[in-house]
Amino acid sequence: MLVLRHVPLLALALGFAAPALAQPADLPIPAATTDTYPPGVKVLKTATGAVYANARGLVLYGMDMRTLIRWAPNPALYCVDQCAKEWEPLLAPAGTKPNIEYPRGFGGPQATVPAGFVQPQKAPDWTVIAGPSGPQWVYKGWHLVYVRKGGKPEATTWDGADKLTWNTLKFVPPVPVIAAPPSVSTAFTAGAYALTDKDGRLLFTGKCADPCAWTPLGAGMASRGVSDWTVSDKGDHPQWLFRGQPVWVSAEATAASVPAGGAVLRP
Amino acid sequence: MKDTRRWAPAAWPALRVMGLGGCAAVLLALGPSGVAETTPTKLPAPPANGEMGFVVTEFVPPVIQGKDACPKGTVPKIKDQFLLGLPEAERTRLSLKENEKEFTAKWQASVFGKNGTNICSQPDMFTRPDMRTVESKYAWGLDLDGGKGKDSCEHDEFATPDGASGIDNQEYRVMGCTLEWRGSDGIGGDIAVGMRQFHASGEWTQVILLKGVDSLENDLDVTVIYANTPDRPPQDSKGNFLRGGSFTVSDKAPRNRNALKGRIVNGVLTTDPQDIKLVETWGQGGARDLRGNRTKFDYRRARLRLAFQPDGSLRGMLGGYKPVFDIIQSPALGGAGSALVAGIDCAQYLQTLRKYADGIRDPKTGKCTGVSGAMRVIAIPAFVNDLPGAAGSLKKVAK
Repeated sequence: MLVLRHVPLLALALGFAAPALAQPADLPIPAATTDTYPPGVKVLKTATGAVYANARGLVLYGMDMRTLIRWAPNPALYCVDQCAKEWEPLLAPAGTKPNIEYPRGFGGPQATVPAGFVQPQKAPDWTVIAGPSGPQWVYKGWHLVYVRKGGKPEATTWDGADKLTWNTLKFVPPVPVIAAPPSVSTAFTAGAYALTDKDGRLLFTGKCADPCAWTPLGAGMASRGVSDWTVSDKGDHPQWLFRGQPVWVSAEATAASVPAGGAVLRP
Repeated sequence: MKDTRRWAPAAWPALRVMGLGGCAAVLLALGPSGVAETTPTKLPAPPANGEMGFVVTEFVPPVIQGKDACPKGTVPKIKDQFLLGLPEAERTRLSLKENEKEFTAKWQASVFGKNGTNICSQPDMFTRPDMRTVESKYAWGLDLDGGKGKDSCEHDEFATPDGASGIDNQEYRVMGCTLEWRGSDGIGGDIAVGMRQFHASGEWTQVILLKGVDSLENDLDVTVIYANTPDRPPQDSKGNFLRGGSFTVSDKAPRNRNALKGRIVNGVLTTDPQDIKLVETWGQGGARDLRGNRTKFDYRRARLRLAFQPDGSLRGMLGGYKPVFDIIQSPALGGAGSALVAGIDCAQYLQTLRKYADGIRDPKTGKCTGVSGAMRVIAIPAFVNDLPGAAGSLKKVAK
């Protein structure tokens, strides 16, 4: 695993638009866009799923700055006094130049994005902000990174605390790049990526016994093969084959809906 | 997949029993914006499986129009308040056309405080004069505290225009004279129009599923599922929701599925007090808000009171206590723009709401932190697929 040593360089390298969505406990978790993390940060498997942790195994929490605007016009500076007694910031190396700041509201002291800075909405996974104790890591644009003081390794006790202000930094691996028909996508389910149709229903292969009641992954009349995918025109309608095996679509987006004898396709 | 669609009554056979004349009489009695439930003289038998689905078409604050509620007019906007707070001579001077630039700069400056704060993003950091409140004795709503609940704080109660007393609706008392609620044309404010659009878009759409209904007139044990659905209601060319649409209870987090215990007495369904949470995002289609705290309809000790109507619909009220800040969440999320463009003084609203708070007592301070409130609810027949055990349920969250 690579260790991040030069923040501005990383920001430049990852200058593409990442899905800067929320990490809160009650929302879908966006996938990581890099496997390059700040120094000491690692991915830890817990009973509730994979999360980022520090070198001591303490789970990283994101302080969702958006929930604190009521109490601090610059929420990056919110965690002082009592908050600082409970939460320890994940500081960037001393001297690291910040490359993100919390956007100011409409009509206020308007700040355009300074040169070298990124907007939270378009931020890569890891950026650096000017925090109360110095340069501090931010995850996915909005989540100022901390660990709970006195917390035990692997503990996720405060996930969602204070009305979803504090949320564990949950880890979903980067979305795999696939060479597949346009109607095929991927979804992270049950700890791994699987191939799905565009509605998120799992794709699987297997021998369908007569009379076959499985739903084929249909291909267009003029579809052509791509990579491991080819088209079979033996049935009533063209059907996609994966490595020569017919591909079927499950009824729902869960592995439980794949019939017996079906094998879920994975990238 | 197993078809779990619930029966939706297209229209009560009672329509035929009553005849068109009787039906029209009932509807006329309600009026175009009537909130009072009507109890038909005869209701049909419920479907054999005892399950009935509905989609909510109306979910708005019930404003009583007329001049007696706000005889001094609606709450002045920020720039008008700024003028009113000046000595008369200065007010006259700044009102002159040639001083408009100076006036604009001064009232807009009043929106901001130290360190980049503004009255809508950080309303707790400003002190403003109290706002104009409803003076009338009348409001729609429910009796939430039975007259003097132990968890309630001292407050005056309203009566409904149709004679019910003990009505708790402090949210209306505070917000009922704002332009956003009352409007300027005697019809309704922006909030009514805006909320309808949120329901039509599928963003806030609510469904009701009744289970175990043995009689529409009297049944002391009914389960009520009150939930959000991601499905957009089918509409006619005028934007009216169509009957018989199909909806599935949301299985995506954050999901809201409130299972309530209810009873039907004389054709009126009432649920036991219970917390009710429903979607209230202001994020233009997103799963969360664009800025600030997550918003949600968060009704405490809430209850539904809905009457079966002869046209097959349900009509009545949702009542409960709401945290005071929830009521200004939307303009607070708008930040300084809410003050500068819409003229809303969030700090004034919040301060006045706190003054009139009558519920959600803080066990540490003993102070009430919420206000009683009500929403007018109208729901029409629909097919509702319930997902009682969906994986998207909220997990336990640490305090």
